[in-house]
Amino acid sequence: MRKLSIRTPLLLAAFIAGAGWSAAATPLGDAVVIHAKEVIVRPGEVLEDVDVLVIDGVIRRVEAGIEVPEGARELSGAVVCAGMIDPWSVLGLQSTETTFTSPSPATRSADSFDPFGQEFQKKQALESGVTSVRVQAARRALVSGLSSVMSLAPTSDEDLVVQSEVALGASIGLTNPSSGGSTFTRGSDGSFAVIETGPTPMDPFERISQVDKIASLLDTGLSYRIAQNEHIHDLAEWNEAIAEKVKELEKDFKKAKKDRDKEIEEAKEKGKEFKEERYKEDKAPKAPKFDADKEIFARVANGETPLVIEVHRVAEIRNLLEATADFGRLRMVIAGGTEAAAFADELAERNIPVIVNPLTHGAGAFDEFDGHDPTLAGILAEAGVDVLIGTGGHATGATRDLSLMAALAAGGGMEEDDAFAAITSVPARIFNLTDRGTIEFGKQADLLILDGQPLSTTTTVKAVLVGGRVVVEPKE
Amino acid sequence: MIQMLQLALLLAAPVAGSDAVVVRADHLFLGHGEPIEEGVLVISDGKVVAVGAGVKAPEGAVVIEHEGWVTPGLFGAFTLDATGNERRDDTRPLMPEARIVHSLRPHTAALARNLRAGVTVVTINPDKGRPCSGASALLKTHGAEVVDTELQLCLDVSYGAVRADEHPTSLASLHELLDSALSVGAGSFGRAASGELPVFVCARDRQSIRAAASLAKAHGLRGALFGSYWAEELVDEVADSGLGVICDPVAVAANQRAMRSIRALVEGGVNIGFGLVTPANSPENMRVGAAMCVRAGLDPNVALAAMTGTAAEISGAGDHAGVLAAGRDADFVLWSGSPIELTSRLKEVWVDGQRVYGGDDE
Amino acid sequence: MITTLALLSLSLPVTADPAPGADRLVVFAERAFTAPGEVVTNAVITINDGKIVSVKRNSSAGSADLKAACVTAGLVDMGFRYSTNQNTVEQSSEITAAARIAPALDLHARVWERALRQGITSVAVFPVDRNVVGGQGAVLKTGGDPTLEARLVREDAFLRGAMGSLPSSGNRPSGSRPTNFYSRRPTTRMGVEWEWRKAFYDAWQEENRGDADRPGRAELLRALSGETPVFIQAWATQDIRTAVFFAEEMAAEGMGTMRLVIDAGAEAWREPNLLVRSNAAVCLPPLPAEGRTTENAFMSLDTAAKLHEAGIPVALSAHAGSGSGNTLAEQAIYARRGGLPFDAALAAVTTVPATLLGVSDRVGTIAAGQDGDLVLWNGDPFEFTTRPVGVVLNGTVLVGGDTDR
Repeated sequence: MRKLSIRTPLLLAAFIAGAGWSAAATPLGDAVVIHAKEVIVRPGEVLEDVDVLVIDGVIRRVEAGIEVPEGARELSGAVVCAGMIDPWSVLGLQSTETTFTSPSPATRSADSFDPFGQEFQKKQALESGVTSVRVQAARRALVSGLSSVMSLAPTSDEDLVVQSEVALGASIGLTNPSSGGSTFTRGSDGSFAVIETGPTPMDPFERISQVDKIASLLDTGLSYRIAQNEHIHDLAEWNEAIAEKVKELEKDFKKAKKDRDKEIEEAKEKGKEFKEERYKEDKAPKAPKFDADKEIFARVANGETPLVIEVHRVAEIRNLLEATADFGRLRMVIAGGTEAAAFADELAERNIPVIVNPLTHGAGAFDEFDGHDPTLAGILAEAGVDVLIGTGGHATGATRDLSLMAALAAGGGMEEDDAFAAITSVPARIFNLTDRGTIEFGKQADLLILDGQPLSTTTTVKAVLVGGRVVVEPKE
Repeated sequence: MIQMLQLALLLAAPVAGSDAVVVRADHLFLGHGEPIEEGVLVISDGKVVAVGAGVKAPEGAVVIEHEGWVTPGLFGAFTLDATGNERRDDTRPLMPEARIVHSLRPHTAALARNLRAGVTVVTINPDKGRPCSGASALLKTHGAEVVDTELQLCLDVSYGAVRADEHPTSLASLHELLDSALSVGAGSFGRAASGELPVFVCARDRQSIRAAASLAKAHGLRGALFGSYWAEELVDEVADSGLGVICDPVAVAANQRAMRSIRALVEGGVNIGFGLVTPANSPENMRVGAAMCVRAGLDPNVALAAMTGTAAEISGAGDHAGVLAAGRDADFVLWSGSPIELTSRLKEVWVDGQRVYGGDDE
Repeated sequence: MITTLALLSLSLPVTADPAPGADRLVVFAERAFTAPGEVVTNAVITINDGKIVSVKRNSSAGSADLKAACVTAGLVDMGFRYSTNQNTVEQSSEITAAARIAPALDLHARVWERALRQGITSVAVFPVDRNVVGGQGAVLKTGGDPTLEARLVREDAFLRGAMGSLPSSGNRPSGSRPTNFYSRRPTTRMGVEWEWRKAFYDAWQEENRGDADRPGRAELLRALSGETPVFIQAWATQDIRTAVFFAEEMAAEGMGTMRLVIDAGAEAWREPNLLVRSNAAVCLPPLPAEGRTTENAFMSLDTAAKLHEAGIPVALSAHAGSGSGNTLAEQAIYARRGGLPFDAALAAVTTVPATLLGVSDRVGTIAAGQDGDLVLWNGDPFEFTTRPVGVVLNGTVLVGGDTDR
């Protein structure tokens, strides 16, 4: 398991422990200063006419009139905001990865991510302001495996994977797993296009039974964890008992040894086999057999890893909420939630965030329900649910249009600030990406320089910084 | 631009009936050109009486102040809504006298959905897939009111209209078939060739776009091509043909080519309209496509016109829909901002001078 | 021998628009294979306004725009398969002599560029061989302005058709309930021959009777009289025989002397005397990987050589465009390996197809008055170690490469 990237606090610690703060005299690593008319530090919080200071990839200061360190790169722009995060994407995955229906839960989407593939689409996404994506392979499977957060502008293999095991994926009622898939078709000019072939709709009872399966998998995980904990407890007890017994035996050691030697000799004389005395404590308690999948479910049931579960219809959502009510530590996130408006209050109460794809579809669309409601995001947000906006894991190129989708959610009734939060701070918070999502001291400098508000159609992203590096150069 | 900007600077307030309504909006878009700041719309008896900046409100008129945008009702070019499964008759390759209006089922939820998305008028078309599938109709989504029973002659010159088991089985003979039908000029074909009846030509690949353009040029056709995706290399031919282009819907994740082709057409002087293409597409998606094109460099005012006045014009409905001007039906939409901005919300839809949707939570 | 190539115009994209003022082009080659049997050393070829103006020998490279080790005329593929799609052929009738596909071509498709990159500058286009008589063939250039006006070299260059089982393969006997026009003759290869004979007999008789004209008749009559050549696809021996006998029958009946060209005549080597006596020419298909082609016809490395020895005009084809992946130059290489002399190989991809297509006044050789179509090679052409490093079409450099790998 890869370790969480904790570069930032380390760097900070080293920095503070080092030569001390001196803004002007000596250049302190790679420095960038951005002069901005408006900095959106947090959704809803805007500072005007300030500068942003970035050193060694970390945001140091956001205030007016920063003294520019020697050798620093200076940029300027109308609006500066945090790099966007697509919390529901398939960018970088091959179509075979997305349609695969029986992965092991312990697999990681990071391993499916092609660092060299889809160059153009990654570039387009980056140029439109998306700097990190959470990718989920095998979206249609009942349990998909662990999703990962990837950087769209890595310097090397080291920082390509931001977090490799960010959440377990699951889906309910999405499709009959044994049908559908993707195929390619050849256009009249010889070009190829990948198309998703339609799923056959599932029997409603089958869909609900999928909820039960998930619940029982969580149960299995919980039992596994309990068995592990009990084992630890038993092991401790056993060690205690052994210690006691040893102490006991040590008391009469000499006598016991003499007795034993005598018995051995007697047995030799008689030609009989000598049997060692057996104690109850000889047998160590057996640990539960390691099972990678159960381990994952244990982590999920225990709240160590969130569960992102794609579910759309009222019946399944209701069943899901009921079935998971007893898992007190479960951190669940609903993806899709097309008909979740009816459950807004309960979702808010139980702190279940929802990743919404605000696009509406025509008849015969890939997902067979037409309950898509443009007002969903707004209704959920108003009820107090944490709403994230993602491109829905359909098309790899959709990540490029993330900000338009957030705008669409705002047009459907969501507050614009909430819509912007849904693609920046909320995904960062929900998926424990503590070093990004807002512009704050100590966070990684994933920044966008725009010529207007981020959700506006006419806005252009002028420059993009990831980890303090300018990865999309400002055009003249 | 198709029509010059209409500036109605009246010295006196326009004459209007006692039911006159005046809408004053921060931005008023007439269906073409640039939006008017502080625009005024005067309505009476279901029609627009006057429109422009600085128009005075007649005595006794109800005045609505709208902080936001007013545009004509959106024009939905090409929809297969409200015709159930009876979208095309496959009896013969050429059926110019067939009229889709006879397959219309007026009480469809789809029309109401279109209205809620701001689309007040649509063209109902016979399905593509045959060299000539018949005539389209112009329909108001509110009340399914038929405005024109024979709006365009619908042709298809693309690969999709070629069958394996029936003449024509090749693109070349398909083009010849239409060429000779237009030359002979019987019935609807004759009216198309004389320019009286506009055409709607489906062209889903490059050969077909070229063929459509040359047919249009040879026979003096007017109207629109349907299909923008493959037009990028053929802008000159399309511009030369005199046809407009109803664009393929641009959806999220669309290939850059989709937006580039549309932009190339506009830069080449071709009039464009955005296709609604429901029910395969959702009506709300027209604005998303427009936004994506604007992001890719299309002029926002051209995009707005492509959802209203220009779309209507190239569909042959320019006299009936898509434009706010004196004498026209008072079909318009109140938005919280520009429709090109996806953050804008539809507030109210007015048809024939009456508010038919929205406004309840004001 | 020059093993490096110096081009002043480097890294040009394929099919770029001609640069303004680029009316004149001067090409230097150590060896220019100007025509089969002719080699000009240290040749300077001057092209003006798209046509070759002069070819000078023993000159210096001096002020040449392009320099190459070897140069040949642009290659001609008369067996080019523009598309394998059946939407290029009108199947509502088996005999569609007047069908022309040139106006329905997609000139932006990648297939042209792929052909151009191999050095093929002129190709024949015709309907896919699903009909007995598919229609008219045209000759087009593979590059330049993507308009028919710019690319068309000759319209109605030949009548195209096929013998064998391919035209009958989609038909069913009309005994079963007919639901479409595939319930018709022919259902076998003898039916295919019957259709050919009927079409020509009917056309001839109608003409003699003075019947009112109908579409296709004029085209059939032109083919019958020999005014237009007839290209008949016939892979296997039996079908080649059928084609030859058919042409001979027409002649014997006094209806006309056809100019017969057997396309994809893989087994033409079995009975060369038939072809000789009917003055037929043959265009071979690409060499099959394992000896057998379509219709299980057997073709080997020495097929071209054998036909050449028998005095039959032989053209080679890569069936470029059908995705075969073979290049025309490779066909020449295999043929040479099988014994075909170099000059005959060069002729088979230049002058022979040009003559059969009736465009030899424009393409096929490097001579004053011919189109400025050249292929620049980084060594002797038709060797495995050699590849095209530049292609000039109508006097414009459309493929400009850098030095060899």
